[in-house]
Amino acid sequence: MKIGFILFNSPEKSETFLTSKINNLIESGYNVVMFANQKNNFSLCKVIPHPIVSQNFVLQIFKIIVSNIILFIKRPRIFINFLNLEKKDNISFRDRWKNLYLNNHILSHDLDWIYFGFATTAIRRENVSKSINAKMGLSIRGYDIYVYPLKDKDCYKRLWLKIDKLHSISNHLLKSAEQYGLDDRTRRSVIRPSIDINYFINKKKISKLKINRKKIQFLTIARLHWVKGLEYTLQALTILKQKKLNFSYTIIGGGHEYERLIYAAHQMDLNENVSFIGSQTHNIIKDYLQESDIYLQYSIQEGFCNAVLEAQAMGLLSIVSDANGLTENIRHNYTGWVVPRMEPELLANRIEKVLSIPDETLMQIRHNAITRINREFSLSKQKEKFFEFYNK
Amino acid sequence: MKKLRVAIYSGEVPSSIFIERLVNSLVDSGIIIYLFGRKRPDFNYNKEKNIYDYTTPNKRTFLFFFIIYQLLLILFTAPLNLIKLITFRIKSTKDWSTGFFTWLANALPIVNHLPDIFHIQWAKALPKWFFLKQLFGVKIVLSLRGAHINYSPLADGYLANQYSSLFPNVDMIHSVSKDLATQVEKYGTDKKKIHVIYSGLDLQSFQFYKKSDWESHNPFQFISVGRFHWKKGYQYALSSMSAILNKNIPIHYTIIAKGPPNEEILYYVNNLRLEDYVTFLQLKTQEEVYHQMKESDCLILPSIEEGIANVVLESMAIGLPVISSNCCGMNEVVKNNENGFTFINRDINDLTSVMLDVIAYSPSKRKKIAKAGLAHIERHHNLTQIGEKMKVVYHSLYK
Repeated sequence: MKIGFILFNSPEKSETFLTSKINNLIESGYNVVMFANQKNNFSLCKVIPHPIVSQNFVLQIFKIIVSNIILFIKRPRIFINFLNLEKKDNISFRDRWKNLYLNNHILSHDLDWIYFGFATTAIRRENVSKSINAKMGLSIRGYDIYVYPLKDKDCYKRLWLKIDKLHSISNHLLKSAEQYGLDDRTRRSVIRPSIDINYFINKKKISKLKINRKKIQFLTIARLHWVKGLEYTLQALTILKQKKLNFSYTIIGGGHEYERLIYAAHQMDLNENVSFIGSQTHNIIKDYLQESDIYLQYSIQEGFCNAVLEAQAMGLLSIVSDANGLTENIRHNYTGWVVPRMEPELLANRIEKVLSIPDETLMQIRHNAITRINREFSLSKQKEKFFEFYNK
Repeated sequence: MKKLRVAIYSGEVPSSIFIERLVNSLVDSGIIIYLFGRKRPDFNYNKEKNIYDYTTPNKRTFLFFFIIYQLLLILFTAPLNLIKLITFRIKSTKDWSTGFFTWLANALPIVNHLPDIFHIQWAKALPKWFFLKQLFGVKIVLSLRGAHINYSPLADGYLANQYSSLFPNVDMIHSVSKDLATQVEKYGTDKKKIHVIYSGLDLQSFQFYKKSDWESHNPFQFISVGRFHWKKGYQYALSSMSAILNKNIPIHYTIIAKGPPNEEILYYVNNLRLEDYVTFLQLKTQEEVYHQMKESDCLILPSIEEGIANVVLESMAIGLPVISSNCCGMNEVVKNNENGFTFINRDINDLTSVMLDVIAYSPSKRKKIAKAGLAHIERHHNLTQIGEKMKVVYHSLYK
């Protein structure tokens, strides 16, 4: 079976949920080809870049004409299929030809499944699968449902009914998608993210894990983006600093809001406590998880969050916000703690409370977290579920 | 006596409103003003005054002829300057040929019309233009404005190092707030070279927008004006709005900005269910903005970072009470409970409580505060005074 995997860009280091999914597909014997702009020398499978849209109007028209003529000569039936389907959807004449150009590279391939890694990648590609007689699968993720439709509430109207199978990473996300027109007519399954449980194992035994109370090590792994709520996290840590808590806080991850966050840390007098160490390799991330006491993920919006799974697998004490999928990721008071989002005082209070619990009692939380992750979030579990997804 | 020639440089002409105000404050100063930079379409200066524009066109086709003209001009008038300029470019820039023609298009008009003083409005542009002092002895004046001092060098170590090596050699520094002035001391700047001169307003232009009634609307109308940028801190104002609405107090919030709201703002509005209580307006003219401000009950400046926010000065000139965060230099303008209201930067609870107070105040209390605000602006932010102060600074370099 040949699967075309559509993304905007090939996965970054931090997007383990994508790399593990592709890896799983390849290991299950599927032939995977990715349609995405190549970034980070991604090499798990062949990557075919999206066509470039030229700023020069004349040049762009020329490119549209040439590429569409080539497609017409090579695959006339598919060429006509696509244009007819677009017409049926009342897409304007101009946009039909634009969309044909944008999808030319996918339409040139014979595929059994076309799988969109994000719902936003399927916009303007709604008719590609049907044109080449392939099945259409799609994953919805946090940004797709919680943020993108705020600009255009009807952005997925055309999409839902074209999908053969929809994958959601959490129940909350699926429910939220309903406000944008998703209904029972679309077949769906919830397959939660997974992690390599054989890799994320703490070197120390659970009984030996203790909070370093002389200097608490906090850790967050996140893109530097407003959805991750890092300013609120810093505010909470400021409250704790004012109460004389000695700590260091490491943020792993890159992003375009570095300036915003380093300024926040500076303004809150946290320069000596906070380190932004950028994107890191898995090995280094694991080392940080190994050395940290408390994992914080105080997001404003979150699909599910693999980093919280990894932290739990390593036996870290995790405190997260109640943003969307995080409430399914952590079981409050059982595998970690869930705090209402955007309330730094509440986060600070929760951290204080956790620090006041004796290590012996915390051991049970660590144990619960590790056990639940091993049982419910392993790669093999995900592999089985995706096999069902494509074959049933 | 030869008139002093000062170039006000921000990179584009016309520039942002506060830089334009600086230009206007110097119109009758007896100083000759040169304007360099990229020409924007809405360009319109009265040349009868002492303003001369030597702007660079934006369109590529014009750019080609512009460079040819500027090259011919320098070849006939000051060929040595051209040699100096090109030699400098080759020596100082590793990959000197990349972007060479764009650089030439920007640099040639300046070298062809060398001013006595080159007044740089944005600190990040200092490294690019410092050669004017090294090669041609032009005095450099640098204005300190918010972001370029407050956070850019924190995130960019290279920029911070450039500041450290260049700031001590700048001839004069103009700071728009005392707070910014203290920020640059760490770059080794001589304190004597720093002059704090606040931004000014042409108070005449507000005469048609003066507020005369402080009876509040129902719902109470809050307003903010400013682009959708993280430093504007709108998320805090929206969170406070939500907290107040939860107490069943009727309020409305209008945000005026040039473009549509970004995803972050939309997310807050949606998540806090504020769709019916927040209006986003994109107004074309400054007059429309002032009119909207006049029709509101209170301006909120929830910013995390500012030099000194001009919209606060404008609000005070209109007589609209202001709630401002105490970030950076804002305390230098807004004195809590005297001429406006302040809250602790990033503190939603404090902002909520101040907003509730303002709603509860009597119209006479709001009027008293607004009048004190206007008096403050008349005393400290009068455009004529600002022009005079700048003139003194420029002339002091040639004493």
